[in-house]
Amino acid sequence: MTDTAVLLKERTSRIRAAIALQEHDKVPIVGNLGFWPVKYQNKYTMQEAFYDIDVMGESYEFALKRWNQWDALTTSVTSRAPLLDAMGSMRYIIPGREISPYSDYQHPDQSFMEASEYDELIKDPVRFQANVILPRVCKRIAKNDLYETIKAIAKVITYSRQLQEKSSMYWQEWAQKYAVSPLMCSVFIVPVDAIIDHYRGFNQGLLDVKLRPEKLIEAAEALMDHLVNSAIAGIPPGLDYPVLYNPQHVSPFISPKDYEKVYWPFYKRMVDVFTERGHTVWTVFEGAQDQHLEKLQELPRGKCVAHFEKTDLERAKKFLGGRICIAGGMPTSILAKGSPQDVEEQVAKVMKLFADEPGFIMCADGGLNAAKPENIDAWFKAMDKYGHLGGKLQLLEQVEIQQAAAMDGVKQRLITPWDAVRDDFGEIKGDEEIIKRYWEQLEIEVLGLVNMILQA
Amino acid sequence: MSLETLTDKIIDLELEEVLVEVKKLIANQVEPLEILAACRAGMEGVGKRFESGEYYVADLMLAGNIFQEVMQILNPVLNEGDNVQAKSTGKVLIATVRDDIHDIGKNLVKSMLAANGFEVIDLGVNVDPVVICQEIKRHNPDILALSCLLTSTLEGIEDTIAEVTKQGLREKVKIIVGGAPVTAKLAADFGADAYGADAYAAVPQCQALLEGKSRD
Repeated sequence: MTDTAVLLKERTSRIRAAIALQEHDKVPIVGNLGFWPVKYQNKYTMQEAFYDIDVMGESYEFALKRWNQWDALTTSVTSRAPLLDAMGSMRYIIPGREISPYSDYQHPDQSFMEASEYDELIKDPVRFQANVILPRVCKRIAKNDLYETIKAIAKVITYSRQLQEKSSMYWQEWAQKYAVSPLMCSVFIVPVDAIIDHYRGFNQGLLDVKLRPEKLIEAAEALMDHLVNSAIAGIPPGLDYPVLYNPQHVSPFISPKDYEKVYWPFYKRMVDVFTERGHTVWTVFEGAQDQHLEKLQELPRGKCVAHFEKTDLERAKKFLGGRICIAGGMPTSILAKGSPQDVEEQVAKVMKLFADEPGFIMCADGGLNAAKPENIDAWFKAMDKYGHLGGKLQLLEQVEIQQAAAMDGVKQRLITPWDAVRDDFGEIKGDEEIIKRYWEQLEIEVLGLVNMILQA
Repeated sequence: MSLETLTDKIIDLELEEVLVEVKKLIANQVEPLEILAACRAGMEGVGKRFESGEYYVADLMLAGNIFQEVMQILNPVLNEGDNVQAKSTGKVLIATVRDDIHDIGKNLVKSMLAANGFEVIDLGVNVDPVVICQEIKRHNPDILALSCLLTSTLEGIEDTIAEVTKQGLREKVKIIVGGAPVTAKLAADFGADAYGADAYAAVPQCQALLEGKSRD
């Protein structure tokens, strides 16, 4: 093993030890760099970064050259704007397209579904998303113009393959040069987040929580299998330690009573499926979610990360310490607007709180975004000063994933199962199993891509 | 049926029942201003439940929605005959700052302020500091409320306050700021007069600013 390979192994093992609440040497520090390297390099506009993955690659290289102390990065390096343009997706505000080329991309609140359409969604959620929602969101996915649609999908396939290849190339290079790796292997979304973010919009969706919770629950139930399968389909094979990323948007805005009704049961079921397979779940609890801390105690011990944005960490530790690894501790507002001394004080304060707790990962509460370079320096320096735990780090081996585990309750929802098309083929002269095998294999392989298109 | 019942129904977020009550009270020729006062008392009760941690943003949104629907019924009768228009508590100019298009927080604050008797002029999202200054001159508000969601658009708040000061308008208007990345310390550093920590906090803060303003 090269020195960098050993260092990489140490870093992954440190994060795994923290998540498993086991003894280790120092608090891992994880970076959610996002588009911050582009701002730090100050050579390209945000628009250029959004349209060109090589701009992203160059900016990341530039930032990693100066700071390579991250134990892992939670970021995906991607430039999705051409993909969204190919489909004519109007879901996001893209820098240089609807807003200044120097701005961040943004997700405006839009509703693409009426309350009266819940029954249609419940009946067949994936087809509803494809046939009803997608044409509303994407101008190039037209119901009555198959040619435009075919072109759009072909562009998506071509471009997403290019993105994937380049992204893997960059990560391999950075793993070898800087011993950093991407922590997240796939994403899962809790059904209520998917419904509110992708269909109903925030305003209408939150009103649904209050006015028609039964419909929301039915729709969430209908979507569960698809969302679980989509997350699993997105996981590349052969990873040492696959962590599933789960951002939660809606939960901070609802009461514990509503949370237990429409949100928690689905989140918990998903976490159980993934963790029983051997995955780890990293949930970003956006906003302040103090009201749900007690419920989170029921998450499986040592298999999840609770990344908090504005939730009080002292309370979080009181409820979750010794059960669930807590992540966070560095407000992006301090990195952006504070001084190096503010950063050091923040680290000292947080490390005092977690001095006796192996289950803690230091990271910013959100994307680094507007962080000042001198504050990143101060952050690493302070972690060197305060972040040592005094334990011994054990190097850990690759985790074995139980492919079939815990999937009993989840239908392996193929997009179209063989049985549904079998009759189209009439009498099969040779071996039906060969035809079936390839049919189903492709159905599973495209699930990730299909899901990406559906969420455009 | 009574005004107290109406207030209670609003506090309990009973949308349909509130609308029925309002229509009944109008039919029974209860003074529209009294009905409005009962609704505002209900909204105050909702605010208290939010502050106590019983209600969350979804509840506030529903409350805002209920109040809007009530006003649609009430406005025609408030505007007719000898009815004196409901007097506004104060005038607030509200905007999401430059380069930020997020409006959920802003809209919620707007509806809470309106429900508490403020006249609110909404400039929308991604509003340039210079435009905000033009609108201050045009509307002469008591309070300027600025919001942002992204850490990278915090500068929009800073720049707006700087522009307001540069154009000599700072003494004319009180400024309250809020939004996910804003903290009390940042609000003070930016030179704002108040900080709205959450969707409802802006209401008592704006009321306090007006009291301070009348003492100035």
